[in-house]
Amino acid sequence: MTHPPLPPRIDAAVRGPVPAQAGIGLRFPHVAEFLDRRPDIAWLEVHSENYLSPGGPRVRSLDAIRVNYPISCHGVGLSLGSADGLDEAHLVRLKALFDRIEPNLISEHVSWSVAGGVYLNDLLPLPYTEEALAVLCRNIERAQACFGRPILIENPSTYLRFAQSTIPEWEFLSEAVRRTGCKLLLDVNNIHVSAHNVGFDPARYLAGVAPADVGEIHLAGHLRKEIDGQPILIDDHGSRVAPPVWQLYERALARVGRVPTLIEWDTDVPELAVLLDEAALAQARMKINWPDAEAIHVA
Amino acid sequence: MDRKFSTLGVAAALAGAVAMSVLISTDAFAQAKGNVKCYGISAAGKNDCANAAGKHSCAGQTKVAFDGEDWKGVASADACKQAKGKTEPFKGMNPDVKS
Amino acid sequence: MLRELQQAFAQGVLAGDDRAAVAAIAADAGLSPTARFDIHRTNTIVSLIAVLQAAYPAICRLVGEDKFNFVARAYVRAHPPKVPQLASYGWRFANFLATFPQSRSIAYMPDLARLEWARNKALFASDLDPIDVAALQTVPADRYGALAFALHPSVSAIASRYAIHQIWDAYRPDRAEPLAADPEAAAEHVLVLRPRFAIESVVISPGDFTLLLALKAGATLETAASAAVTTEPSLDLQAALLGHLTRGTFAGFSIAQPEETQP
Repeated sequence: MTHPPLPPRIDAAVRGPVPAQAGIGLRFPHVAEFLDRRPDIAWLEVHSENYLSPGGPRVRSLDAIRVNYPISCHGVGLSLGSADGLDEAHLVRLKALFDRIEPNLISEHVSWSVAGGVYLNDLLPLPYTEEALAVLCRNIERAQACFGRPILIENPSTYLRFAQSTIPEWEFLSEAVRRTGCKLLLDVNNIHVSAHNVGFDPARYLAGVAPADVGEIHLAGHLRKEIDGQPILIDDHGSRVAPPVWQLYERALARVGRVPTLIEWDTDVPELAVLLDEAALAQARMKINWPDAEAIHVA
Repeated sequence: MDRKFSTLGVAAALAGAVAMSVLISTDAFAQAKGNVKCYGISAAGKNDCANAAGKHSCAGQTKVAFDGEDWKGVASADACKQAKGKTEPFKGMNPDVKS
Repeated sequence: MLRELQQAFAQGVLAGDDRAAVAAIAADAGLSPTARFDIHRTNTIVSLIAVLQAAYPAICRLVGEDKFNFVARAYVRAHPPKVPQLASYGWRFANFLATFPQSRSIAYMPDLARLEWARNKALFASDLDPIDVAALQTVPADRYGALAFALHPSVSAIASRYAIHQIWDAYRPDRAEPLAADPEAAAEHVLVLRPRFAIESVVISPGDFTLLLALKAGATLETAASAAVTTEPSLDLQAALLGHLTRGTFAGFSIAQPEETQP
């Protein structure tokens, strides 16, 4: 008789925390290679919103790949910063995905995308105020209650600063961690991009983050662009990690310890070998700073 | 008046179809089963967290230079290549002109 | 306060009135607040246009990217997404094309959009195995007329006055060069489905279209067949059913219980 496919049987070897190794984002052009050849990479991240459909080759291929790799579900649509609160229907869809895939880690962004029931496909910045902090914490708590586990929240790439902001970004994030019990996904490229675009010292940022708060690091490429004759860095995830971001990554490793590190690539996705090579570069830096024996695992 | 398909006719048609499909289904299904691979995986909308403003600018203000011109279709590959989409609309395709 | 700020941003991104949003942005060194806001507006609009390009590749190829983007931009502003799943964004595009000033005179375009959307929908529909023909053989043939078939969740059927499948096939994205196509060549009925992993679209006869419509509404095979031959007196029912059985159009069947006779 007809039946929907069964959830994946996940081997014990790929359960538990995401390993403190370098991983890459799973991108559609590479899916066939992951199904055919099972490339050697410690873990994978997927964008949760791309796997919420009732069926189809996307979700079926994730089912198959997930059996062999630890998986992080990285949300891009929950809009944790929405003053309107979270979309309960979306929470339910995400929960169903997490029940099925049993991700090793769940993360989202400190940003907003939804206002008045409209989804703006962008990770929009929050003003760093007490009001926004309260909204963010309320929404994180709602998400964690729905998922039944803590999440990681990622610092945004920013292109502007709000006049009403009163709290430095690192303090805003740290306070959200303290109030909700979530952890930080420290995007080192975003720190570099935002520092340039809105004018802060990346070293000051890193110093403001408590090492124990950080559960994961993101790395990606950005684009330098001139608008009206002014240089601006765009977080386009379309190239290799830039040298100053590698330097900042080394400083981050030295400060927060060895944590799972992910290579993101979304624009002009190259062949898989390039992503694996970037991951190897991150892995090498991890080992220099923190030998395997001292690897920290995230709960 | 509705034409009726006789009970007998329907049964015979389905019985015939079932008998024939049993004969050909081994091949057809084996072919259709295939592998999840990447059928259309990339070819549809997706969410990501990159900023697309690097390659584009002023999306809200851009005026495309064909204001007032109809959104014409093209009738052949050659016409498409030569005229870059600026060919005549299909004959009789415009109901405003037709009536 | 935060709610008003977010509404102002949404307003600025979609409706173009960015005064309230820009006023909230600090006047730092470097880029002006307007230029900073425009990075977000651009990202939102451009990324959603890209989603529509992916959902309607044949239309984009047919009219060219500039013209497609022009109408897509208008669509994004008029119908921004309501849910953060971009695989499901763009379902109103066919109706939008039918009313948008630059496209409304191209009568076949909305039907072509319906065909492309049906393919998009099929890609993400539930996965069910098509019915096993062997199971049908266990049903007594004299009960065949009383069978009701559940269509596969990926199935859509589209009726058009134009040769939309021919046009779609001529401009499908996996073709190196588009082919010639004449929308006036025929009125076409198209069945779209994804019984397993590959999306299929095929032209079916008008009677077959009626048959599927009736079966979808829950009619028995006998009732559906009668409706189908009313539409198309020369319908070859056996050939139509064979097509559906081998293609995987049906995901299940049930038999209407015979009426109990009073003792």
